[in-house]
Amino acid sequence: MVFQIGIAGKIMELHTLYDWTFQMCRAYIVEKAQPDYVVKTSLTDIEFERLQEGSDVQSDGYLESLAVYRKISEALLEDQTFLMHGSVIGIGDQAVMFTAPSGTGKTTLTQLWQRHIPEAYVVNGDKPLLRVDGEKTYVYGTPWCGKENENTNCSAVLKAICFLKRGDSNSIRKINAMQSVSMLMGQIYRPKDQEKMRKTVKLMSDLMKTVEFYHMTFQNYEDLLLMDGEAALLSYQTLFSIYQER
Amino acid sequence: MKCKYVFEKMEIDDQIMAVPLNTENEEFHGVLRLNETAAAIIDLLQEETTEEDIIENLLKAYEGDRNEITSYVQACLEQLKEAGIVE
Repeated sequence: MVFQIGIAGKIMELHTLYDWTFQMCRAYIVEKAQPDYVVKTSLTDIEFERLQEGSDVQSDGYLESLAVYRKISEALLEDQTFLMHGSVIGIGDQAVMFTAPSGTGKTTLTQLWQRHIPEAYVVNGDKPLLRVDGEKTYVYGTPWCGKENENTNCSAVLKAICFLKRGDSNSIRKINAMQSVSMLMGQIYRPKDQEKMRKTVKLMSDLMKTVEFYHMTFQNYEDLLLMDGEAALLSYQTLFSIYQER
Repeated sequence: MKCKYVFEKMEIDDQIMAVPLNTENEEFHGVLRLNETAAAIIDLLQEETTEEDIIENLLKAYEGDRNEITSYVQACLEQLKEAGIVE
């Protein structure tokens, strides 16, 4: 099927074999717009994603949706936009990203923010697109946002990236760009094509000039019901009060 | 000898960092933090070269005693070989 979506400020025309991607993109559908990019998927693309997943249990439609996002992400490098793994929370038109390997607690921390900070909303719970534009980086909600399906079809100015780690207590500290490079590399989508990877590295370098970096230790009890608001409030007060001073 | 990886350099807080672009089937997934001389060595190693060629190139580019530069290059190459970056 053929349809168009508005994503990261661009119009994508998608040609898919299955309707899974169409269903997941419903909130981003646009009608009869002039596309900036055209993305087509094939059975070969689906098989590639099946190999990456390392599992036979996922449906072809789901795998195709992964292929679509991979192609969208690589196409958007031409527009200073790249894909990152992290959970992005917005307050007004500003946002912060928590990033860490899967299972650390990004989703739990995001849920705590939503519970304890009324004005917080989730821009993208898992795989946001980031566009670097001069002195600012914009972060976008997209339909590809994790199994909790938390996203808002919007953009926000990214003020900080916080690297999350599990620990025995909640604490947060500012770190410099040098301390962030390796952790950042681990959470950015890295294309296999060398020229696309070169563009990605350039964008990462540009990103680092526009945001603050933090490291947070997070006491994750696994059971959300046992957790109070300390981690959310601590990170909110640190990350957004720094913004206000700028 | 040559680098196994194509490196892209970037400057962060006045430091030179080199990121490998082709790590898919390789073991090194880190980032190199380099001074100016080490960055020049990495640049030379993007093509097939020899220890002697590297030394001669650095002698032309920088003021320095041959013995000093030779020691530096040898130490640098040793580290790169141990990290699996140079073959």
